[in-house]
Amino acid sequence: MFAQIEIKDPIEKIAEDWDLLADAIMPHFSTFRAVGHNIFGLRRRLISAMAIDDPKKGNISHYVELGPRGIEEGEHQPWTLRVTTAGTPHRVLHNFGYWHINDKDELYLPIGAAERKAGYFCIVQGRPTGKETDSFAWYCEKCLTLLFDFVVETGQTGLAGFWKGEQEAVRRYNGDAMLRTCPECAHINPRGYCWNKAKDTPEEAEARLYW
Amino acid sequence: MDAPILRYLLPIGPDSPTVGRWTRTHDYDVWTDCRAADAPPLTLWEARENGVLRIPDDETVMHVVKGGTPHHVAQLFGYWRACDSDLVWFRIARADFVRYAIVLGGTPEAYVNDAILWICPSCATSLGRRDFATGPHGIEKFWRGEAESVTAFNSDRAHRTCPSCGHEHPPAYRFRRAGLDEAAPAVAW
Repeated sequence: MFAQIEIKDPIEKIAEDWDLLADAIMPHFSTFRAVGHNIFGLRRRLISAMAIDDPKKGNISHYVELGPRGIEEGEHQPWTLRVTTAGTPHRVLHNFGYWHINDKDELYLPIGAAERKAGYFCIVQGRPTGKETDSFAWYCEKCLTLLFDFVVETGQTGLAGFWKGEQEAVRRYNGDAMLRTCPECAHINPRGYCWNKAKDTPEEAEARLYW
Repeated sequence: MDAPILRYLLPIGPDSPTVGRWTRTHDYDVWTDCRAADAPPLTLWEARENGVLRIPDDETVMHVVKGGTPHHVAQLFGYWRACDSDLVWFRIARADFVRYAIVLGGTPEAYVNDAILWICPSCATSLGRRDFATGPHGIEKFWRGEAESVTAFNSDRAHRTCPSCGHEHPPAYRFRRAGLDEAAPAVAW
């Protein structure tokens, strides 16, 4: 149909990053990176119906969300595109030790492998703008009372502000035993920890194993 | 009061009830499909200043169409679309199936305008463009405009005949989504 007007140059010459999952491109998204209207996190992972295997963190397929009916849990499944809607507190066990609440939807797509290779775990989330925020929150693990909520105006700060805020929130929460003690039921809650395992203190590494 | 929707689950498999359909979330419009490996491929094209660019039908593809870039998917919709929102295109071929997904959006406030256009396949001359002032979250205006635009383009051969080279463009067709009450096009270009 378009043979007469098709650009004949190799696509890599026109758009080097045309395929975000290409071996040479994907490592740029191994944490998170903003492109246009979205933020992308892309990783190679062993993906099966039983697990999404992170070589550093273990199985990270189990997600938890907090809604009007309390805690709801589930497993990421290969070939199921899942969207956590804006404003829903959510976390992934052993992956980040806080409840993430953001003003943007988050979309997850685990892609199974060709043959017996690692597949892909793709995260796409809207890029915050204006006064939109991300917050790092902790709820009592016994009675779900809100203990601490640290808000970052990521629409202004971008991803740099997100990571800085995450670390500050974790340090403040872990540094004050009163914050971790539930004012309703007096339960002392476990410490939080950052997404990046390299930032863990020994106590945070212990908390990562727990929740 | 309706209970809030916390999540959307869209299995991309041959028996999934959501394949072939658009799903609206807070920030996104998501379409998924799963087709037999031997079915004609859905090939993504982008229009550039110096011609049209074919995005390869590789085994695993995740491609971003930047907002405002005219794009077309062969076998899926018979027009070029230029919408203000970015679009993420997935194509994943495994064994007996090819799975597709379109994720449109991310920053709803950036979605102000959507457009349908046609380009002469012989010389790249514009054969017309219709813009829709959708405004954020106003994608229904695009879908209403889509039906009208396709009907208008197909209603008169003169609309489809290139004023520069005389080439006759094949008829347009609407996005081939599940539930569309419309016969398949004679030429699914």
